[in-house]
Amino acid sequence: MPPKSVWRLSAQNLSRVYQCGSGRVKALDDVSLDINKGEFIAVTGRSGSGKTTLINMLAGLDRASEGTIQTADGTKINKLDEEELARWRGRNVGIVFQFYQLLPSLTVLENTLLPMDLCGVHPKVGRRDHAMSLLNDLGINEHASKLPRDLSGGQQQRAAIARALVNDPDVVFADEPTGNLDSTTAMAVMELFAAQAAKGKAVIMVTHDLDLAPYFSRIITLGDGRIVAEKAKAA
Amino acid sequence: MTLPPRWIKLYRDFQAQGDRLAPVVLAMIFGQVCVIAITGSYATLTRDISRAYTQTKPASGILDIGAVDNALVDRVRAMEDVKDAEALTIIHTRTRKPNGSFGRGLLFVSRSPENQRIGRQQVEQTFPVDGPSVRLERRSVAVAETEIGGSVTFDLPDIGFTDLAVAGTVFDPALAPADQEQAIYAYMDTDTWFALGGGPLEMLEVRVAGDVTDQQHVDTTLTRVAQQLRETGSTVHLVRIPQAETHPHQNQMTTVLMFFLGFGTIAFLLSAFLISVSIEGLMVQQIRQIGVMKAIGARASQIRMLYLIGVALLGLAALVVALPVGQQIGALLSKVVSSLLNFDLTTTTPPVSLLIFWITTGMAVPVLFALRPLTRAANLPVIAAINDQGINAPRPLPKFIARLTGSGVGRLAVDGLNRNVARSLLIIGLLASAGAVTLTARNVSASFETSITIAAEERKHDLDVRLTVPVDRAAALKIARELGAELRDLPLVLEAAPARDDGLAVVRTYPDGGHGALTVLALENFASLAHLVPLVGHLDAGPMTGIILNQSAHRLLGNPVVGDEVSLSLDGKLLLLPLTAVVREYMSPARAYVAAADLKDQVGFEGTNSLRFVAPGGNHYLTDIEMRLELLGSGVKSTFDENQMAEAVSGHINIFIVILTSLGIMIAVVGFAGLTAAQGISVTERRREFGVIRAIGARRGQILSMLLCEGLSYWFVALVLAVLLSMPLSLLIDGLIGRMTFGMPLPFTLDGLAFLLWAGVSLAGTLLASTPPGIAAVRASVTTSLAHQ
Ligand SMILES: Nc1ncnc2c1ncn2[C@@H]1O[C@H](COP(=O)(O)OP(=O)(O)O)[C@@H](O)[C@H]1O
Ligand SMILES: [Mg+2]
Repeated sequence: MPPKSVWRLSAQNLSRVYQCGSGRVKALDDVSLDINKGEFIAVTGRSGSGKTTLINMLAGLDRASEGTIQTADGTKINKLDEEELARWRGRNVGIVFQFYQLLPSLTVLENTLLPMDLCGVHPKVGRRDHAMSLLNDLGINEHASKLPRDLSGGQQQRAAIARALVNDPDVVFADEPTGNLDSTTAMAVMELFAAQAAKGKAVIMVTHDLDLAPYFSRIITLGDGRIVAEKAKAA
Repeated sequence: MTLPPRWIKLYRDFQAQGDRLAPVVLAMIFGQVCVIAITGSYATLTRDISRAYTQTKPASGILDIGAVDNALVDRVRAMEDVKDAEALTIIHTRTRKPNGSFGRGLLFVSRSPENQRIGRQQVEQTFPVDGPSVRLERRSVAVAETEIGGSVTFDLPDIGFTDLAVAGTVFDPALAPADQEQAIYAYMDTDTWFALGGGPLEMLEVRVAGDVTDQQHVDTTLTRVAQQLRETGSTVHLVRIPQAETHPHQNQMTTVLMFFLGFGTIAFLLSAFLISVSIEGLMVQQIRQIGVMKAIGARASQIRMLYLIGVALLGLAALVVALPVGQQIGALLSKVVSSLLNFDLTTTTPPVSLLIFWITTGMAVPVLFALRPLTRAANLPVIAAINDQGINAPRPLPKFIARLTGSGVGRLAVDGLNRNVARSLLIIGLLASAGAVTLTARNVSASFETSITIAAEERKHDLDVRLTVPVDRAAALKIARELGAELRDLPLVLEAAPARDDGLAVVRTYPDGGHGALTVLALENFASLAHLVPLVGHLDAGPMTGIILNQSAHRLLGNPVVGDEVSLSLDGKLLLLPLTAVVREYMSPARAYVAAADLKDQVGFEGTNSLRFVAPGGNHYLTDIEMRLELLGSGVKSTFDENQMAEAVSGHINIFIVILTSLGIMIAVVGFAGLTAAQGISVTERRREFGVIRAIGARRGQILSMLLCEGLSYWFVALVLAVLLSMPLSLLIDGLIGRMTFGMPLPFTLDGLAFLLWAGVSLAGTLLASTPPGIAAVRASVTTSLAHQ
């Protein structure tokens, strides 16, 4: 066994072709990309440029038509079967959706407990405390026993972030997480993500909002499924 | 300890879907109740009918010898493979009821009826009486219209009508129930019998050693005993061997229970199929959430297991109700059937293995039926699942239907049908099978009624007077002429058996002589058969030749073809005649018709012992007949009038009719429960869509009438299917029951009234099932409908 290398996710020559009706749409066209620990990456571009498609590939939610995605320890995630892929997602990836996607019949705390329950990463006895401390960090501990429908958008998004972080993933993907939030709330959410990046997690976020640019360590711009610009902030 | 969150989710979701799940669970309960009740009583009844029969140590066979003394009994007891032997006489005679009417009686005379070694009865009640007395089988008391301590009047051969005190009752589960046979079973000891002037005992009951259930062993042992007796100078007139260790009505009961089992299984499977469709409806609501769970790390197998256990728990919940209810109903069914067939139940508690079977099937079958929709939902790709909008477009209609229905409410209704083909098929299937079974039940009942009517029409006589000793035909005709009575026929009626190489007459029949006997009727000419329908061959006018069999006899004798020699054994003598024709006789035991001349030539018997009168309005000249017969040295052995003939038939048949009808009702109930559930799901699932339609201008009335249109289409298609299905099904069951009871299918009859009734009931049921969810769907405001997930 090689010594556990520093975490990294590298994508090589990713393409994704959608078959729609009679035509074919190339939503992603030969994209290569490395993601490292502690990076806070923005993916921007016009609507339909392939942003969602890209992070769905990287998060293991969808499969590339061509290309490989590999972690530093050599796992080729596009070679995993569905069950292994699901387990990989659960243990290594946190996902935050634009529309929060909390399960409506579970409370905030229960939603947060769910990934641990599904993947069994945390010892059973400590789960509740772990989830509560996370909710506390995110400032929504007093809403822990409420159902999502009783929460504001910002509170729901915090709960969703708690859910994404609870299994302590190496990388967090967020597809327009602030798209539905007012600007003050959006700033607060951005702070949370930035804090995670500062802690050493990789954070990749799809966004349209150029006001947020100062937060990012790298900005990748897509156009017609290709990387048209890549700008790293001077360290 | 708290529940893991995914189980909490399952629990809350099921709770939230309560109104949709409740009818599904109800249908499950009903299906389970059917299976539990039927299998439970099947187990109880088959166990206890054998136990009751076996406990009597029934005779493996009865030899009709003419005179049996103690020495002979001892000799037989010592024979190889004989466990025990005992002498008795079974007298088939008539009885006179208190109101003067005549009935059928079976008198069992043995040394000590209370202490039988073979064919034991249990003494139930005892009453001190004076004078000659008998005990009655407990179910005969009502048939005899008497009471314990009262009396019965038996016509004893060579003695005449004799009043016998009823000294008590016994329970004899070895006999077909007295009321079903319309017979009085009485037991008398030899002391009484000899004191009355009775002759020696005539028969020998034999119980074989070794495996009493092995028919072959029983048959060979008894024929060997008969041969050995013959070699030592006894005459063996007839060897009666019933089905080895089997109650006379056990097969009838098993058939009935098999029907129950079949229909119960249909009901259960229908309810299971309903689960499949309901779960599919439920999963449609869950697809997006499943996608989210998978995105955050749930494996498809975890999701599948979660919902499968959920379904199993629903099955368990249904079992909690179905187990006690099903057992109660099963116990009730067992009680009804066992009392119908006159045997007692030891217990109605089911065996543990059955309990395990119920619990596993109650949970496993719903799981199996839910597997496909669950697997489909769990295996959907994550992205597709998360993006699921809840509205799945109907598949495009075939062009001609689209043109036919235009774009109005009718079109929406057809779209509704088309949207979820599986569910539409289920609803139609439920209704159609309920209708088919109900109609079949009624059709088969109507077929029974037709066959009874045909049998009554073809009988052509209303009163059959059987004589103790045959008399000359001319003398019998003279009696009839003098009385001004019309004689339809005057055959010589004899009990026969298929001839064997060893010359023995062996019949597969029970001590009561019925159930498997073969009767030969010798006639002067075949004119009196001319009205019968030939199934094989012709009934030519003119001189009578050969032998004519009815379908039961034809089958009993191994289906010979026309021209084949048929050989029968009559009291040890051989009758050999070519087969002329096979005639159809509904509701009739096996019969063979031969020319009186042939019988006289070959066997030597002549005269008549059965006077068949056309006597509308009763038997008022019976006493006159009796007096005149006595002058001829004969007497009346038994009389059989219209009512008795009808009752003996209906005693066996009504049970089928009742059972078929209740099966129809049972399936109909599942059908309507399923319909309610499926309609509820189908409507709730489309609430959002109704919201959209209303948002673009449809009025509530339009949506409601669209739903009603949909219901009516289901009803109509199901009705047509039910009728189409019921025909082959009726034919099949007509065939099964008919062949079992008298060797040919029942006459296929359609019950028009039942069709109208079903059409009405199913229409009402469909509207009842469709209207409430429809009203609920349109009552909500447009915005809540649109928000509906
Ligand atoms: N499931 C799909 N089927 C067909 N085409 C799709 C599908 N998903 C995305 N596309 C197409 O792929 C392209 C990229 O889409 P997407 O990745 O969602 O872009 P973005 O997130 O940048 O708006 C678009 O042209 C879109 O229409
Ligand atoms: Mg997008």
